[in-house]
Amino acid sequence: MLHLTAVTLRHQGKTVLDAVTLHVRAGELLILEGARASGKTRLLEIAGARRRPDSGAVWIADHDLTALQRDSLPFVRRNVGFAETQPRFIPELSVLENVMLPLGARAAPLGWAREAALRALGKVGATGLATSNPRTLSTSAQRLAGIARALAGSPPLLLLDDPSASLTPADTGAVLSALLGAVECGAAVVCATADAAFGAAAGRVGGRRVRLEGGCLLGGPVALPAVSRAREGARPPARREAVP
Amino acid sequence: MMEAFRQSSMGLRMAWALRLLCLGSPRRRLGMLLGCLAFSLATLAILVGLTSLTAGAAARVGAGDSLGTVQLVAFLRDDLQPGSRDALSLALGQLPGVERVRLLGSDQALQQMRRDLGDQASVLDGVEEGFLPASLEISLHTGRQGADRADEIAWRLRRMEGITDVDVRRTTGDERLARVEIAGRRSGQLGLALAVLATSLALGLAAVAMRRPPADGRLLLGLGFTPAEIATPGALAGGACALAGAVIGTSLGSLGARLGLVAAWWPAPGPLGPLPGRDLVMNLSMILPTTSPGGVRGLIAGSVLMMAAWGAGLGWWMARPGELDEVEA
Repeated sequence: MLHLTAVTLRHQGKTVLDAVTLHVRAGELLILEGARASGKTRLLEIAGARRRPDSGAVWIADHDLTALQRDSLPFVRRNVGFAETQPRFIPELSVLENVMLPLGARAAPLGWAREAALRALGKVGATGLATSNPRTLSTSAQRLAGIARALAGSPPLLLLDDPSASLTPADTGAVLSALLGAVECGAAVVCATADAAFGAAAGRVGGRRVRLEGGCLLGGPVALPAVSRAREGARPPARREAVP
Repeated sequence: MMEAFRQSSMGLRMAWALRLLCLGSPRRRLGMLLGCLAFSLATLAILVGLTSLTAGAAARVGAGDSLGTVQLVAFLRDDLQPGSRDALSLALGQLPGVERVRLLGSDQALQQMRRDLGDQASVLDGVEEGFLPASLEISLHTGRQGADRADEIAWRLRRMEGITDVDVRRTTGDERLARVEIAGRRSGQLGLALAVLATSLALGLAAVAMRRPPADGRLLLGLGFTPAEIATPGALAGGACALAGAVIGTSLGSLGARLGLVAAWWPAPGPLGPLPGRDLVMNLSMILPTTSPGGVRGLIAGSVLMMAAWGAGLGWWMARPGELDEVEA
């Protein structure tokens, strides 16, 4: 599902990511552990088509993101669930409406989007927040709403940046359970975390743990599946909407 | 894997864009109000600027239509008998365009001249009766019926038996013309000031937008909305603001023009002279829908549409999200 090959990113003369190679299969939970400023967030942004690497290849399903034009990247992003460390919301919209937004990007009908958003909020135990204004939420509630937004519509690729930060153990358990549910449905899930306890818990339920230090991936990539290797030879058209 | 939903359609995308526009509009109401004001001022500037450009023509039309009166004075031959004078007076009254004919005898003409000279009337002391010839004062109808044909009527009169010369007096119209031309220059200055004000306001809004790129746009871009989908609500809002502003500006201009037309019929207070700004408003009234030809109405409609297009463009430019990595690098 997600293939990063020799991805390098430099910022202000410093190497943020140094030839990172990482492969995540559909139906796999990957825990990307690392200290602060180790490059986890930048790696997730590159994997989520939000940032372009200086060199290397990024493939999501059949799409080589480095070969796509900028105008085509939103079509990839709408199939990637992305939960930021500090999720941003549109303040005039309720939490439910904010969670519905990714489905709006997919032009989902309003009623369907509402149901899907409610299901996503329910998965992380945040149904009670649906009618709240995001500005009135605590940090942990905002984090839960952000994760629900990433889960809404069950995208095939989920990228979560520090999902357990400032969450209670109960909330962390609910989030992990929701992520496992997505994995069971065939989604590829990548969680970047500095929380060793969360990494260990995810490892116990079948998550694969890798470590990023100073922009370098320790432990090496998993073997690239044969199907994925075959896909790498085919160049998709430059402008094509990534739909399931 | 991904839950099923209908494939993307333009209608659904537009519905989402309109929904976001409606939900986000309360936060942007100040900007929208200021934008509306800027476009109102810009429309008024265009209208007032048009009056400046057309001041000369408008003044001539105005002078002929409503305010300018032309009087012809036909000087009669001294040997013309009173009966012939009356017959000539009667015949002139029948000419097309002639409103009134008044016979002015030699003595009456002398008294009239004394009145006209005022303090310097003493120069006429000792002048004997019959010094001035008898004359006929011929008042013409206003507008195309008479005043516009003054020269033609004068040409005919000069060829009539018993008339030695004809004088054409357009004093009122000339004064009016000069006053409206001055008003035209003032219109130009006012239009320029309004244009500067409108441009400053629009540039100020654009500067604020540049300093604070819309965070909503970046959020939506990250969620998979395309830049076009994000900017469309902005373009719609900008177009609507500009259209509303242009309609308000035109309405204000039209209202001012109508008030001007009403004010034009009020007598100006004698000791104070003409009402301040009355000519300016009159001038504006001459090109606005009540009195303007179709071409000018077309220009006004074009200005309104142009404002809407500018507003949509400005709204699009202000709402565009940029690039995620450009903003956050």
